[in-house]
Amino acid sequence: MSAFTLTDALIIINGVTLSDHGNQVTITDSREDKDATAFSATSKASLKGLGDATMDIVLFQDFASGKTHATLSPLISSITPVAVEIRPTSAARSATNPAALLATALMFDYKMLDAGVGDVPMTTATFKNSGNAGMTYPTS
Amino acid sequence: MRSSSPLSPLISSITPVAVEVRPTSAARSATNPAALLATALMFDYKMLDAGVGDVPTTTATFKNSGNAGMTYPTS
Repeated sequence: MSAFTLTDALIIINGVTLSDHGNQVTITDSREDKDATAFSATSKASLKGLGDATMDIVLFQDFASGKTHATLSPLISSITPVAVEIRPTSAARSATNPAALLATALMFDYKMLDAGVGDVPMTTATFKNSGNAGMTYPTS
Repeated sequence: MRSSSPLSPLISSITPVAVEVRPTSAARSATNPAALLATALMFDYKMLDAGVGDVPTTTATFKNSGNAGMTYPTS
């Protein structure tokens, strides 16, 4: 078993690499659970419905050029989808380092500051798929 | 990262698969019964859900697609 420690995740949002500001990533790929149980059945039967895909990325806030705020703030008012990619490590995509890719992602929530006195301000960027492609896992 | 390969194709697939869990790796028997979902679908997959320094784990949840439900074969 090759478990590993997540110390070098790659985060690319709209072409900007923000790995050195990232702290937590959650990649969720799901399908609706549709009940397909008919009369006379003795167990419930489930079928898959529509898919959904989200990425939650926790980043340290930074107002410098090309960093967190400059990258994220334009996306909240934009209706143009962007690509968001996360990899387990910063190495090239491969079978053992697959990317999670939202090729057409929209950001629906942005908190410029969400911190108390003395905190290190962080922001959670949540992206959802805008098109029907959903989440893909390219290895090259 | 090894666990990613068997699981990731299952989230987009609508073809049920068999999932079996046994208490030990020994053959099925009355004292080592299997729990078998013969026609299972996976509805949720998190490739990564971890912070810096964590060992990433993922929870795969399978539900029965057909009416067979769970069985407990001993052979």
